[in-house]
Amino acid sequence: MQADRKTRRRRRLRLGNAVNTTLVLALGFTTMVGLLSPADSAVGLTADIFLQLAGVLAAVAVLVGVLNLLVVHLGRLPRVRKGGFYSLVVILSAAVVTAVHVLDRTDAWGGDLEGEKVGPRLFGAIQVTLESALAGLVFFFLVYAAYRLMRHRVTWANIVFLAAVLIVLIGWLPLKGLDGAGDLRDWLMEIPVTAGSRGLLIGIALGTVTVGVRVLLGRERAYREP
Amino acid sequence: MNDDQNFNFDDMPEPNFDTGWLDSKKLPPQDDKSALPDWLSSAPLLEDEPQPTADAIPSDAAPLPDWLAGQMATDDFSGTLMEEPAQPKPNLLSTGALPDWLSTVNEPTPEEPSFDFEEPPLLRDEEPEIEEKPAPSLGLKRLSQTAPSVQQSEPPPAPRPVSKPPEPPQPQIRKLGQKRESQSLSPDEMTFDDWERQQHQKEYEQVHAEDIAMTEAVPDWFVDNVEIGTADKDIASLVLDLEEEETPYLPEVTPPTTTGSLTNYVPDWFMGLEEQNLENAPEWARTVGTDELSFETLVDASAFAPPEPEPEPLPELPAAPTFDDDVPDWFKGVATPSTETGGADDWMSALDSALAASAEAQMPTISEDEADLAAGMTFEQQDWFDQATEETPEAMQTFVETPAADFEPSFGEPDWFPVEASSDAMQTFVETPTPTDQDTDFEPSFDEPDWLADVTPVGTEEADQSNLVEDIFAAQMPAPEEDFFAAMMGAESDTFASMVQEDEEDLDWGEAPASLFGEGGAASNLFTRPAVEDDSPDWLRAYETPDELPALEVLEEPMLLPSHEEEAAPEWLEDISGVDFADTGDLFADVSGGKTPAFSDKDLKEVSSGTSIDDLLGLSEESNLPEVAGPKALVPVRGKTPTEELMVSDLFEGIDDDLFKALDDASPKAPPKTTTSESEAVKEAVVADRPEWIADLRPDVPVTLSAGGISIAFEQQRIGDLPDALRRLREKSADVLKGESTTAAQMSDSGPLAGVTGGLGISPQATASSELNLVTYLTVTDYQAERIELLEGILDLTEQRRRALGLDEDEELEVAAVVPAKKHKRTRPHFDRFLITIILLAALIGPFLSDALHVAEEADSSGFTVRQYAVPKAVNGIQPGQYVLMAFEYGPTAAGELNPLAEAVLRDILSRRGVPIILSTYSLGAINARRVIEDLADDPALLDTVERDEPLQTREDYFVLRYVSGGTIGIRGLTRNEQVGATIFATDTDGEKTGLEFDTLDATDFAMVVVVGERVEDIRNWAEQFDVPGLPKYALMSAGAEPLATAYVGDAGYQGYLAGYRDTYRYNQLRNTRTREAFEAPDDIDVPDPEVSQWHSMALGAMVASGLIGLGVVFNLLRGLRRRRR
Repeated sequence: MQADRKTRRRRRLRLGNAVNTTLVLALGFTTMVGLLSPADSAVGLTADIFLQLAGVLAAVAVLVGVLNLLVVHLGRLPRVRKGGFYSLVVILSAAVVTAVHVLDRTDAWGGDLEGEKVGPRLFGAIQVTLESALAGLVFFFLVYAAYRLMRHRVTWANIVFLAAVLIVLIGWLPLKGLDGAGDLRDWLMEIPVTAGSRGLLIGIALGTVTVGVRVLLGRERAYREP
Repeated sequence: MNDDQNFNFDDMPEPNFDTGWLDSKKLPPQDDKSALPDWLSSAPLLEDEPQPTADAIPSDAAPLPDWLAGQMATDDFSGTLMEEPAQPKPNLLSTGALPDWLSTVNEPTPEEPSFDFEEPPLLRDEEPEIEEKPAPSLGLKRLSQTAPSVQQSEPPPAPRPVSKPPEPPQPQIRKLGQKRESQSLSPDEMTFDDWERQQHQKEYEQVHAEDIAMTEAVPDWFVDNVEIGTADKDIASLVLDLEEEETPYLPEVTPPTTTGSLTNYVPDWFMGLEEQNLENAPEWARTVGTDELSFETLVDASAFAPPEPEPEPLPELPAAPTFDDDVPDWFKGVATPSTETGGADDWMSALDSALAASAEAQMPTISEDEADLAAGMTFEQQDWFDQATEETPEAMQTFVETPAADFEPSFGEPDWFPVEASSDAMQTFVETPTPTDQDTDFEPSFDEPDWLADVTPVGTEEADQSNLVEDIFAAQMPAPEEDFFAAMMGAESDTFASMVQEDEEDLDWGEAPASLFGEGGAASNLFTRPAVEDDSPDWLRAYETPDELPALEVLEEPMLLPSHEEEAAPEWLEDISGVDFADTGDLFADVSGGKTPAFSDKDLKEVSSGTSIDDLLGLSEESNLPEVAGPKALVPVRGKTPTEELMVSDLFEGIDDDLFKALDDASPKAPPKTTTSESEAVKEAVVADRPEWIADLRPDVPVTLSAGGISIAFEQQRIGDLPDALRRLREKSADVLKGESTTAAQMSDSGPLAGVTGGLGISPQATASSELNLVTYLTVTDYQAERIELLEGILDLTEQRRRALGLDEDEELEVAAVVPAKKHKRTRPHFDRFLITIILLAALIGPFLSDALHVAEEADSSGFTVRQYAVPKAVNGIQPGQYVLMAFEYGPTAAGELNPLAEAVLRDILSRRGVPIILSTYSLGAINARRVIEDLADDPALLDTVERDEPLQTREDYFVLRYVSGGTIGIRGLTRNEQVGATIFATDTDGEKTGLEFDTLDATDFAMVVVVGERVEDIRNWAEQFDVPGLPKYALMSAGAEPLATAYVGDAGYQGYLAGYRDTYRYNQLRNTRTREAFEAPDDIDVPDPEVSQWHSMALGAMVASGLIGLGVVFNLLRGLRRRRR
């Protein structure tokens, strides 16, 4: 209590913080009221404006993020440092993708690539393949982890977990004679799993509401201090 | 019934003696006084510790005198004490080997075991330590050697039959130099101990023939004038108005102890004091308490003056008054002053001081009861003194006339004198002569112990001081065996001189008495605590081995106090020693008209029973003694406070000027006089001014350590009791401190600490204050040196790098973090992991290579659930040209799983001539969607289905809209804001106008909404934010998101969903068989249909994975069980 009072005493009201808090409170309440109001109402329209601004800011944020990424890695190029090669690769990749996209837009490709869109091909050939392969390794990892799960300790939680895994896997198998496993899997997916997932979602919703209230009350640190 | 329960206290015979008088002011029972000697009946000896009964006294020790033993045997109380039935045992009594006197003692109580009993264990254990060697002693006497061991040096006293009726009290006066009357026993009457003592005595006489001869050479004058008796006891008896008891002559005090205690050494004078009988006192002593005693008798110091030596003629001296009849004869002979030695008052003063010092050193604290006894005797003397002063002023003239050219200090002093020599009794002397030979001035030498220096008069020379001490000690030289002094002081070799010489450094104000008398220093311990005291001082321990202490040699060679130790004397003692007590004549200035103090019996009884010595002497405020009109001359002279000065002035009331004239004439060159009271004053001043550390040195007082509000008292330990390790540490520490003190003393010769010793040494100033003090050198340790080198190396390296980079000094150098070299652990290859990987790869790849691994059933729509079947059903309901809003909310990571699903649904949509409008809130989703739909756009089977020769065209047959920013906000804006929706739908990924115009989304705008999501959040966002009434939504999700995403599948959310490749395969098999080209394998390669193989691959992979996981579960379960069994 005393420490809190001291902290309060020490805090100085800064203009920036006050403005931020005021803006957050005003916009938050306005948006909330606007979302609850008819779309054609003034508050609703105002809220829509705010939502559009938020969307624009998010798009600009993506652009800013790309530019920041390029600047950072460009800054690492002059000096030979560890990982500089990757920076170069990032920059080159960005440049190549940008160039390909530009070429695709200008139909500058000739020959066999005339009229083709190279950009999507590169995306599918490189990005999707790599990430899909990387995701495929998860399968090996998960199987091996499940295999060794009870190597060090045999607990009821581990047993239940592995039993659920086996039931879902076996119930998923399109094999003859495993209809019972399929039914068990479906029951698990519909009842326990759904219940658990909904519980998680409810918790997420409550957390979201809490954060929203804190933002509206100006107690969120992100808006309270610069 | 237990015997203890039947025990009735009423049946117990009540003891015949009453010790209650010890606590109250009642007088002791008369019968006890008659039965016990003074020393035994006075102190609370009977009360503090149960006195050993006859059966508790060792027979061989023979500690009790015969008269006491007999009395104990005959008295009632002795019989009551010995309640235990006598165990008949063959002792000396029964055999008749004992003398008759001893046999008669036990005859009245035949059932008693007499003295032939088993001695206490404690005493028995200690007895072997006693060395039975004859050693004539002058100063101290060891009680434990009252057993035959000590009596070897003297002829055994003739035990007197106890049954013999008490003889009329007769003073047992014996003269110095006169051998005791032979009380030899016939062999039939002697016990074995007596016989043994006799044999030892004979041996001793043969060995010490010379010494005995020397002791026999006591001057005749001494023999003629000195009477020895039990005057002190008689005085006490008179004072107490008690019945005269039969006090046998006790040449040696024989308290019942057989231990070899080193602390049982007591001054013989003290023991002799207790033994004396009143009948032995002179006539003048008998007048104590009466009006006949005046101050004239008191100041008649001729009794203490040395007698006139025979060979030398008396020098001519002024006529001195002669002794009248009131002065005892022995007093007349001794009190003859010597003109050469400065008068009798000088040597008496010195003697008084010496005896006071001796008493102080040996008996600093006297128990209250003993003090009472002494006080009672003191009053008797006070009376006598006063009376002598008033009635016999002429005595002082004879005192002056007595020459003392060859003064022999071995005078005979009255029996009461030793009593007065105690710390309290010494105050009774107004003036005592100093037994110096020639000089009148001497200074106290600090070589001697403090207690001795305290009583030393100021103003004498150091050499004279030595002579003084020598004379004093010579006065206590061992007389012949029959000498009074030897008899009273015992036969030990410890003399004043030896004691001083050996312990001059160790003896302290409080230490020596405490050590001597045991814990507490009370004189009562002499009698009540005969046990061995380990805390006795070293000098006292030395007496355990009398051979090491040639007492005679010490006596023959007067102790020469080293002068160099004079400097070591503390300054406070010097200051105190400077008290001017030379002008003793002032003491007599105000004396006028003495009064004969008259004490009533009541007062005397009160005083003798309970009044402390301070009360007696008027030192206590509560005391009523001044009202009792006690002799003021005996009041201790403090001389410091006005009250005391008044007391001093009142001392000599009744003394006229003639007396002082006579005294002055008798001692024309009197040295600075030191009265007993003055010496006491000095002593007390010293005690008052002495540092606290001296008081702290008392070994009998616990040391209290206080810290933090907690005080803990520690009992002090003797050095001898310490372990060797601690002793060595103490010695080492003492050496260090000694060295430091020496250094400090050297350092403190000048400056503000000049003259202050014991302080810390002054460190010389390194530099002058005005100079700049620079550190010219540093002393670093090895560790610090290593660190310095390391820092220097880092600085050098930084500088080198800075030069290599061409940086200036002000430029920051980014020092790369020193990344420790990675320790590449050579991990042990996991064989099981490798095996599992291989098995899974085989299961996944195998179905693509061979049909034999196609173990799964062919997928069909029969496997769809209602929710899953809703998707193809909804697609099947799409009308040509209807827009289908599809959201690609996944990236390249989930493309491998979701692209086929999305392609299957798109294919079906396109085949239904629907127009998919694709958008994504994920940046790469739109790109991926474009790629997917572009692949379908030129699919021949699809084109055939839709009857198109040309690929499907974007912005006509399908729309891939731009990235929708803002996530949930963007999704919300699609349905809420017309402007937002119009903006999003207006432009595709190429930035081209789509021509789509949607103001507000409604159910008529789209046939359905298909959300392809990789994560649950994607599915949730669309389910929550995109809410168009009447517009069904369907979810295409990854198999991983299915368990959670199914929560949004329902009436309020998604109408149906498809998940993973399983549903994709089923969907294709259900809806796209006609719109897809059949697989045609190469001619040279026989591989199954990849699409079918993928299905079986997944099935086989899942099956193998399930098997491996199950195997792992079983294996680890068994492993865990086996481990648990261990």
